[in-house]
Amino acid sequence: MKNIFLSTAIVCASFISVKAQYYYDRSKNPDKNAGKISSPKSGRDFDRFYFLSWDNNSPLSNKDFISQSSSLGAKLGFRKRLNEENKFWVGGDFGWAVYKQYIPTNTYTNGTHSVTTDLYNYAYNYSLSINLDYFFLPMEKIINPYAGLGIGVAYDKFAQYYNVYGSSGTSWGFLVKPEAGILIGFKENSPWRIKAAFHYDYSTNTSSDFGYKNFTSMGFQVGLVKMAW
Amino acid sequence: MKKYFVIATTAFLFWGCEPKPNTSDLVKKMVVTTDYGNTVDFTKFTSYYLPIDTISYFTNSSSQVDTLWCTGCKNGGEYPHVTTSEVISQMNLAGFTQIGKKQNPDLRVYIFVVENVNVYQSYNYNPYGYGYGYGFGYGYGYGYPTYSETDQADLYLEIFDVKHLTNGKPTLVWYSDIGDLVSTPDLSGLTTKAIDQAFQQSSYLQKQ
Repeated sequence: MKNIFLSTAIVCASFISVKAQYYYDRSKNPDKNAGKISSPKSGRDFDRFYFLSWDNNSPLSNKDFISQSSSLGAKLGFRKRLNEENKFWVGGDFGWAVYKQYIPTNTYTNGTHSVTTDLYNYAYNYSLSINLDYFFLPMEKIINPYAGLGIGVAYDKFAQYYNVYGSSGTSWGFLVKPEAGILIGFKENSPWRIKAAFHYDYSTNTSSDFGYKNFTSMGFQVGLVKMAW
Repeated sequence: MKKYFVIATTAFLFWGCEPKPNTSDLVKKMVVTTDYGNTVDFTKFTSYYLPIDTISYFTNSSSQVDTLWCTGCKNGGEYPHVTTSEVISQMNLAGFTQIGKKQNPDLRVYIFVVENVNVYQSYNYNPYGYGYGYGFGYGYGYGYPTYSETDQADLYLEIFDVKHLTNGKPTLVWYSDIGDLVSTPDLSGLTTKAIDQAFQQSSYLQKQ
């Protein structure tokens, strides 16, 4: 009986000493990755988000056709966390914007030919891009600024309406879209957030009929973000 | 997967969204087009002939026929009177004198309306998409015919040189195309303004 008790005591002591040894080593050798890997989150570990934004745009090219800012626009997109770093998020955007301008009645003369009319100039802009965003703070923060770049394609339809008549032309082009903005949560690690961002869109879309060479615009978007996991 | 589907569907809805100006705003003013022969010297003309209260009417509609449209006729109305009287007023202001057909006028003014009625028929059926003009009952699966109609008319003012004939025929020296007459909210009023504009933008059309 005495032997059994002694053996049990030795086994227990050895476990305690092993555990003690483990904790002893960790304290003597602090984790070299500390600060690099995101700290444990209090709530959901969101690894993607979706957003729908209202988009206000101002044309920067061919202002003779349309110079007025457009409040008729939207952006729809998603982002997925690239890795455990929680800084880089990759995804895609779909953009839609309608620019329009009324040109009061004027007489246009070309040689012997003259036309008098008022004009409604329209530009319908669609874009599809692959985006990479860099978030400066961990995603669970209430306020998180970011900078991003989108690359993709843009499709423009330019149209001119006068009385019951009209003309239009279309153009496809390559799109580059740098963007900077901020996500604002309603609380720490909020599942719903507000997105506000400025973006500059440069595309190679060209239409000789409507005087466009590289359709360029600048925009401001405000929208709602839904975080997901 | 469901969320990506929602995104794709929403994007598709935006793609088809191309707002246009209100029709009521578009047709507040008529479009006025003019052109002329750049070798013509209008100061050498003195007189013109124009049938009063009568214009020609051409249409491609099967329910109507090409005809003379005159104020006081059975198919009358005020429009021929409004049109011819405004043209006469502008020609007189330009310094030309209206005379009878048999008094050897230098110019002949011809006014007519062309109405284009187009009916489009198309046939859609699933799952293979769109077909044009096959008529009801074509193919298989679910299908439905669609019809659309456009009706548009222009007023033409033409001035011919009947003093100097080319191969025995009068020469067109000036014309104006004014439209649209069908969708306008004020046919007589806007036509009158459009005729005035046609002469205003043709400053070369002067006797003096």
